[in-house]
This record gives sequence, structure tokens and C-alpha cells, in this order.
Amino acid sequence: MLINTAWLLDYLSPTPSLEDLRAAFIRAGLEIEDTIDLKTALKPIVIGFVREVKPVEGATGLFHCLVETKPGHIDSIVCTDGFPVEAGKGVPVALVGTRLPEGKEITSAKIRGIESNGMICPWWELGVVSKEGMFTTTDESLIGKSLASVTTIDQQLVDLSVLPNRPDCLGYIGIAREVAAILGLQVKVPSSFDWPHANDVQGPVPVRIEEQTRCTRYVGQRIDNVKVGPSPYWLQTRLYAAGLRPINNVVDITNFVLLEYGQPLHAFDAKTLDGPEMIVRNMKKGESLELLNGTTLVADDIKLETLPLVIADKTKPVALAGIMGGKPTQTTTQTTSVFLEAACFDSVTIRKTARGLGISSDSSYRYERGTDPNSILTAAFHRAVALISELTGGTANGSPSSAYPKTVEPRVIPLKLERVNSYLGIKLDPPTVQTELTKLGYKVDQSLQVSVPTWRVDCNQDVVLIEDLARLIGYDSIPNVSLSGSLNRGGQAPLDALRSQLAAFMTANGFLECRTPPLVDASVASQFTRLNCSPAVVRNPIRADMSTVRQSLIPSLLAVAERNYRRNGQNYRFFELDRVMGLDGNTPVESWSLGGIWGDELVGGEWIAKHHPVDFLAVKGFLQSLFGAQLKLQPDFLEQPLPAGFVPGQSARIALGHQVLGYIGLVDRRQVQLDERLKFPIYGFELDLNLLLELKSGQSHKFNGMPKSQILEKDLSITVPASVNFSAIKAATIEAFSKAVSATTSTGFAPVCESLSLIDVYEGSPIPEGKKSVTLQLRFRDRQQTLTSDYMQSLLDSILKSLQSTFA
Amino acid sequence: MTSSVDEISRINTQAQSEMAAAGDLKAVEAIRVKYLGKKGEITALMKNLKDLSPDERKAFGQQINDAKSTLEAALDDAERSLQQAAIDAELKKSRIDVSLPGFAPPAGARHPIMQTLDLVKGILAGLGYHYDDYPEIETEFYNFDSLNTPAWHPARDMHDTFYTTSGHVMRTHTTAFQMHAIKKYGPPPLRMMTAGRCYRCDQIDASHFPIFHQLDVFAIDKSLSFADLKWTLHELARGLFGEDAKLQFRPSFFPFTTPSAEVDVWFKGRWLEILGSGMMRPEVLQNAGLDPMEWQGFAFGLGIDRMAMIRYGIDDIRHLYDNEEEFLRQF
Repeated sequence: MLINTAWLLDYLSPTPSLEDLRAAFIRAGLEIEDTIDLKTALKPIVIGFVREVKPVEGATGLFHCLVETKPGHIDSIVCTDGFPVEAGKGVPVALVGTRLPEGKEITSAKIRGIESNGMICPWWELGVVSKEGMFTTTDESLIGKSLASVTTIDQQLVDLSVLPNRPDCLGYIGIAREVAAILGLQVKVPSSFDWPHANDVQGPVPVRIEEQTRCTRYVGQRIDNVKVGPSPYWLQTRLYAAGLRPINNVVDITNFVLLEYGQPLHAFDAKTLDGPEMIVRNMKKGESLELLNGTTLVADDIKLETLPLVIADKTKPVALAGIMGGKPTQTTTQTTSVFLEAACFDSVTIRKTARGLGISSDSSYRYERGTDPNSILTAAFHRAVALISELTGGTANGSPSSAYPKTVEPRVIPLKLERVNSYLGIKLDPPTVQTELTKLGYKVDQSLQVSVPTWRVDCNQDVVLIEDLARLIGYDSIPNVSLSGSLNRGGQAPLDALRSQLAAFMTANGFLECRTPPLVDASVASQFTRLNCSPAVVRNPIRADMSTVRQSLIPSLLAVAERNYRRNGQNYRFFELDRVMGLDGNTPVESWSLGGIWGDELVGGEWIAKHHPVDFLAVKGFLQSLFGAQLKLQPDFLEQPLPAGFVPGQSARIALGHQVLGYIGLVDRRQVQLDERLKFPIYGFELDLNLLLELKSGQSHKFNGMPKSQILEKDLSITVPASVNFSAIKAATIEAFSKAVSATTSTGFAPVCESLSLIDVYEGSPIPEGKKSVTLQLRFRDRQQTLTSDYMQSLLDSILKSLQSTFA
Repeated sequence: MTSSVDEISRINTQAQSEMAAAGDLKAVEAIRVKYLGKKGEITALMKNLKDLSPDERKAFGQQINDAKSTLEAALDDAERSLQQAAIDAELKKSRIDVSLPGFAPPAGARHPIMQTLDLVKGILAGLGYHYDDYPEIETEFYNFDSLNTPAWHPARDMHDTFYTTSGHVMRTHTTAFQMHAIKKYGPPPLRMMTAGRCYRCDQIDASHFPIFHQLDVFAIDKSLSFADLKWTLHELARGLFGEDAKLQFRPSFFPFTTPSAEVDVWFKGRWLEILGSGMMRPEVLQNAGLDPMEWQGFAFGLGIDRMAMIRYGIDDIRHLYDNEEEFLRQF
């Protein structure tokens, strides 16, 4: 809510300083979004003397002025009739290039062919509230002087953000109440006005609430002999300061009282109402209503659970309740008699209607959050009647109409002192609690039974009172008390620890960690995925390419690579630790992944190393060291099956038994449509962290003792068909080794093969076509004793023989 | 006798000049053999001693011994300096230009968001908070209802919250973890935390991204108070901003806390809003099956993206999600 401080001071006694006022806003919980100090903002405005004024030909309400803005210098300025300008008077002028307090910059313009190099500024253009319309002077020595230097403007425009639970602060008086409570001041409420209705011949206009759950209270007053015209400057400048435009005195008064009390009001042209009889009811099929903003509501076209609540006269709806008045019944310059209404509507009803119809207003904004049906409504209603009588010459005709079927009683909350003190960690005594809460309008008795004013729609239990007490004594006066009570063991869940461990490994190996959005384009969401479920789709995406929850991290990392390629990236090693998600039926599935891509050279010593782009075996080897060193796992790398996105034959499924740990492989750039934008081979991998954690925690880490014998290294060369996979050779060798050992248990030796590595693969002469020679290195030992050379030889012979027969 | 003395001095002189000419260890060894070997010239002189009188033998013997040790010392010196020269030559040959670029794999780095998150988590773990992960695809119940956010609350609007076609919400705040954590780790006393991605329908600009990171914390015990909350946040702030960190607590509103406070830290000459906090609302405790007259708790949550931006002076949130190498390598 945009506040002019001078206006706020109307309601405070004694007058606080601006600094105190601002501190009070913060302590109350009214966040200061923005401040415009008018004294500073008015510095660039200069005094110019009007030398000549003549109407602009062919235009009504426009005047061409010649203004002396510096001694001897005349500017041509076109102004409106908002404030009558007279030749010979000094007026405030914003010259071209000047910025007005609320941000508008003055530019030179041509209006109806006339140069206009500036703007004559009535107070309202400057955000200043004043009884006068404009600063004027006859002192010629002030020509060219800054407005701020010739008059005292001690006002600020403060944009306050009112918390959503405090609609009672959506008016000056509500804000004044908070400030007064904090600073120990009194609130000055405008004097109440009771109009005479002793000779009530006509009686009040009948009013009736049909929808009593949707409307709590409805009051109204007919006022006759109204003269509609412009409002006085004190009122106009206040509306402008709040960002509103004055319309006419009657409408301006309803807006002013809305800003003052936070209570919406509406003034109908009484002569356009049938009956007159006012009914609060739902709109009916077949009805329509033209609103002030020009749109027409047609009941039959409205798609809401319940048709909207309206104010109707005897025959037709005349206003959309709590949101907007109807156009045919509005107050115009021809109006001579008005029906002023004030009401309290159910906040959920107004919210649903406003949102459902897409129409909002200053009224609906307040009703949606909740208004007071009691003292605030009454006070605002009386204030508006008084102002209409005073400013339009109208007279209240008849006694006020009122429908209030079920009085809203103040809630009573028993407050326990121990609970207050235990909640805040302080020691307050009952008199303090009583005094402080009373400042906010609560009625508190000796036993701390608290009666809550009905404008406090948020206050439904004791903790709200405790919060109010904390605000009043100040959050700063609550001490910092080091935590007492039982202490738990802090720390991290095992999966989080695993993520930290893997992140350290990845970064130590040159990978850069990314954070990429998990919402992606539907077309890439399921590429590379290791999940077996359908993707979760967002119903209301902000962009088409952020519509689906990703099922793999690889597409996002490829997008990173692509961006870096455009931006002259050097290295293409990226990783991310995040969830991949989907839906199994209607049940969300969330699984943690380590995703990575690698597309750069193997080493970083460009000047010395040979050009060696990364290849499948390099990425695989990297993952093997991750599995081996970090997790003590030795999974298998299998050719089939693969998810979409990988190049078959150069990619693998990583598995341990029947469990799939993840995938690794060459990215099929054509398939993922990156071949034009990423012009080098790139590898991707993704691992299932939940499964890795499960496998890792299942291991027992026990010390194996130190061996008593030396390890033996023996090379074995065999010739096998070229089509045989290494994994088959390895498996056969290991099997042959254990067979050979178990065939010789009688020797007492029990060697174990500790590693089996590939030394060489050779195809070509003298190896026959279709065959390859494979050299393996076996490292084995009996940890307890040294093997004899005879035993070793027979072991190797037996293994060789077995392999030859397997691959014959 | 005299001729023998002359002989010693001659041998001495000759040996010295030969040594000066010796260019390698082999030559030095040859000189050693020539004079001090079994058939060497000095050894030969020793053999003559037996022909002399006892007095002469003593004096002459002394002279030969002196000559011998002088020569031995000189030979050792010559040998050592030749060895040193060989080492020097070897070192000179293998000298490298140490200013040449090293043979380094590219350096990796953790993302600034994750570094910041680890820092905050570390401080809180030290205060006894337990970290765990909780769902991102949430039910409306956990994300809103359990946290006292009624069905009509504006935060639940389609303008603010991503809904899935399955009727779930992408969690809008990590606060959604509260009831999960109470159920998983309860009953109290509890000190729990989580962090991770949250989703809101914001258009992307310099300070908004529809997906961002939060960290959320709560503690529940018999008599935890607002004063305990203040202390905890001061500890956290000191960990993040240094021992003199200054905080400002401003009243605020969250459906799941009362009293609520927005917390600012004094940073580079102004107050910066860093987190929201408050005493857990009785409704929330009740929803989790706890008696609000028995238990009291506090909770707070902070935006990690914003914290990272403050720590590193990052001016545009989009940098965090563009993942450009130039950016990532700076942390």
C-alpha cells in the first residue's frame, strides 16, 4: 500500500518524527518496499513565471503557456485545466529531462502542433498532499529556484507491503493503529457523524440478504440533493498520492474512505435503482450485468460452481458484490441522489468470484482478505455519509438501511502467562501483557481473557496474541538463549554422504559440477533413462521446454556442453548429482543419480601430449576406478539392452547380477539432434545412487590379514576366434583357474587369483585369419605359503589346456 | 740416505704433476697404483728401509709415511672432485625449464550452490541437526495442508505452483519436509534439516528462476522458544558471515509459523534479507500428531541460490543455471 506520511500523520497524536515512523513500520511487520523522499524528489522542480496563457485552438481544457523558467529564458509549455494557471504567477515547472517523484520523465512533445518543453506541476503530480492545488508565488526573485528551496515539503511516499494475514492494515487508520501502539501514541479517528432522521417519512430503503453465508452485513443510506462535481484539493491530492485519479466528489469520497478505513463502499445513482429495494443474492440464469470497467457479465456464460453474488434492486443485478459496481447505476455528473452502501462479504466467496471471472479491484483485494462487519464498517459508513453531506451539499434522506442477520461476536481467547513466557523466552508480568495488548484494541481482563476486535480476522488463537506481544515489546528485546533441551546426534543421511564422496571424486578428476533445471522438453525427458516408469508432466508449465520432469541427467548435461561449445568451452567434463523422477501409475518415483558427460582430450598437457580424444575405454576405466576405489564394486559392462540415446556397440549397461547400476556410452548425437551443434564425440554415463548405496552398505569391510608369500605373475597367451569377447575369455580363465585349483587340493596348496589383466590383443600374421591372440596376466598366490614351481607349472598347463578346449 | 730423501721429493713432485693432469677417475686410480700399489714407487722405498741403521730407519720411515699419507689425501681429493664434477655434469644435462606448463588434467569444481549448501549444512550439523532428503514431487497435503495453508490460499494458485497431470505439486518450499521428518524420526525431541530444489511459476529474469534451492530446518522440544530460535540464527549467521555478524528480526507472516520473523543480515553497509523463520504453528504440530500444549518448536528456511549470490557477489541468478565453464571455474 502506497502511503503518504503527511496523510498518515492526520491520524496520529502527538506527531512522531519520520525516522520513528519508519522504524515503527518495520517493527510492526509492515515491510518498506520503496521510499520516495519528496523533499529530495522536488529539488529538480523549478519556479517558472507564467508570462502568457492562451487556450489551445480546437481543444478544450488545454492551454498554451509561455513560462520564464530562467531569468530571460522562455519555455513553451502546454498544460491542462486541472489547476487554473494565471499569467504573472510563479508556478512549479518540471523541465525536459526532469524525473517526477513516481518515476515519469518529462520529455519534449508537440501537442496539437505546439511545442511543449516541460510540465506545470500541481501538487498532485508531485505526490504531495495539500489543501492547495499548486504552489504559486508573485515573488519574481524566485525564478529558476528549486521548489524544494522555496517551500517546506516534509513528506515521504512509502510503499508498504501489508502482510496477507493483516487486511486490517489495508487502510491508513489500521496502519496508524499499529504505529501508535508501537510508538505509544494516540490514534485520531475522524469524528463520528450521526445524521438526523427523526422525520423519517419514507423510511429506510428496504435491504435484504438472501445469501447469508456469503454476506454478513449490508447497510445503506439514501442521500438526496447531491451536487456532483470536482473534489477539493485536499481530497484530490490524497487520491493522487495513493495512485488513484479523482473522478467526482461522490466517487472520490468512497475511494478516500476505502483508503482511510480499508472498508469498501459504493455509491449508486439512486434514481437508476428500481424499487428502491436492495437485495444481496446470487445472480440468476438469464441475467446480465454491465460493469464499470465496460465488460458485461452474462450469467449463462459464467463457469463457476455457484453464480456470483450480486447486489440487485427489485428487478436486476446492479453490482458484482464486493468487486465492482454496475455501469448503468453509477454516479455521474447528472446524479442528484445517491444510495451509499457498505457491506461485509465472505472472503472465500469474493476470492473465488474475482479469480474465476478474472476481475479484481481495490474492493475485492480487501474483501478477499477479510473485513470487519462491526466498528470499522460502521465508522467508514458514517464517515462517508458525513463527507458526502459536507462536500456535495446532500442530505441523508430517511434512516439508514441495515441487514445484519447474525451478529459477529468478538472471539475470546484465554491467554496463559506461562505459555507467553515459554514461547518467547522472556518474563512478562500480567499488567504488561494487559497494557500492551490493549494498545492494539484487544480487551484484556485481570485473568488474561482476551476479547479480540473483529477487524483482526487473523487472530484465532493464543499464539497470535503472543506474536503481537513480541512485536510490541520488540523482537530485539527478546534475548538470544543458547539452545536447551535434549541434543540429538546431527549429521547426514548415508545417501548424502555418498553424494559428497562422489562429488569429491568427480571434481578431483577434472569434472565441473552443474545445476540444471529438472523441468525439460517432453522430447528429451526420457532419453538415456534408467527408469522404468512414465514421465511426470506439468499441467501449467511456464514454457514448453520446461514441461516434463526429467528421467535422466544426461540430456541436461548435453545442453550444457552445447552451450559451452557455442561459448568457446575448453573442457567437456560435466557432472550433476540430482534426482531423476517419474510416475509409476500415480505414485511418484524419485531416484538419485550421478550423471556425467565427457567429451574432451584425455590429458591436459596440450603442449606435450599427443592428441588423444577420450574414448569408450577411457570413460569405462574412469568409472571402474570410481567403482573400485570408492565403492569396492566390480560390476559387469554388458552390451544389451540400452536406453535410447546411446550408440549401440559403443555403449554398455552396467550391472551387478540382475541389478542395473546404470549406463555408459557414446552419445548418439544424430538421434538427440545435436550433431549440428556439438561437433565431436561425447560420452555420457549415469549411475543409480540409491542402488550403489545399498550395495556399498551391504559390504563388510574386514581386514584380510597380510600375506605370508609373494605374489606370482604369469602371462598366458591363447589364440581364440576373433569374435570372442574379452568378458568371455576372462570368465573362462577364472573358471579354469578355480577348476585347476580344486583338482589339486591334495597338494595342500590353495592359490587364489587376485587379478587378471589383459596385456595384449593381436590379430594378423602369423595368427590365422578370423583368430586373435590374447595375452593375459594372472597374479595369484596362496597367502599362507609359497607355491612350488612344479605345482605352479601344472596349474598353468591345466588352465591353458582348459582354455584351448573352450575356444577351440 | 740423502739420495733417498731426494727420491721422496722427486716422487712427490712427479705424483703431484701427474695428478693435476689426471682427467678422470681411471687416471687417478692409475696414479694410486703407480705410487702406492704393491709394486708402487713409494712401496718400493719402504722396502729399502731394512738396509738402514735403526736411527736412519726411524727418520726415513717417518718421511716416507708422511709422503704416503699426503699423496693418499691428495688422491682422495682428486677423486672426490672428479665424482662431483660427474654429478654436476649429469644434473646439468637433466635440468628442465621449471617454468614450463605442468602436465595437469583440467581442474574440476563444485557448483557454487552446492558449496554454499555444504557450508550451511556443516554449521547446522554441528548444532545437532540431522540432514535427510524428502520428496520433490509432493502431495498438496504435505506441501500445503499439513503446513496450515488452506485450500484458498493464493500460494496454491496455478499462477504460483506447478501441478502435475497426476495431481501432485512440485514442492514449492522445502518446508514440505516437516511432517515427513516428524513421522520418520519422531517422536521429539527433534532437530531436522533438508535442502534441495523447489519449484514456483516464476518467469526467468536476473533475480528469478522457476527452480531454486532452499534449506529448511526445524527443532521440536518441550520448551523451545523464540529466544532459542534467535540464538540458533545468530550462530548460523556467524558461521556464514563472520563472528561479528549482525542480524535484524522483522515481524512477518508464514501460514506455518507464529510468531514469524523475516531475518536480515548487515552486509556491506545494508540490511539483506536472508531467511524466514518462526515458532511452529500449533496446527502444524497437531497435523503431525503432536500435542501443541506439550511440544514447542521453531523452524526456518533460507534460499541457497540467494545465499550463494550474496557470498560470491553474483549479480544474475541465471549464471547459476547456465553452467558456463567460465563461470563454474571461478569457484
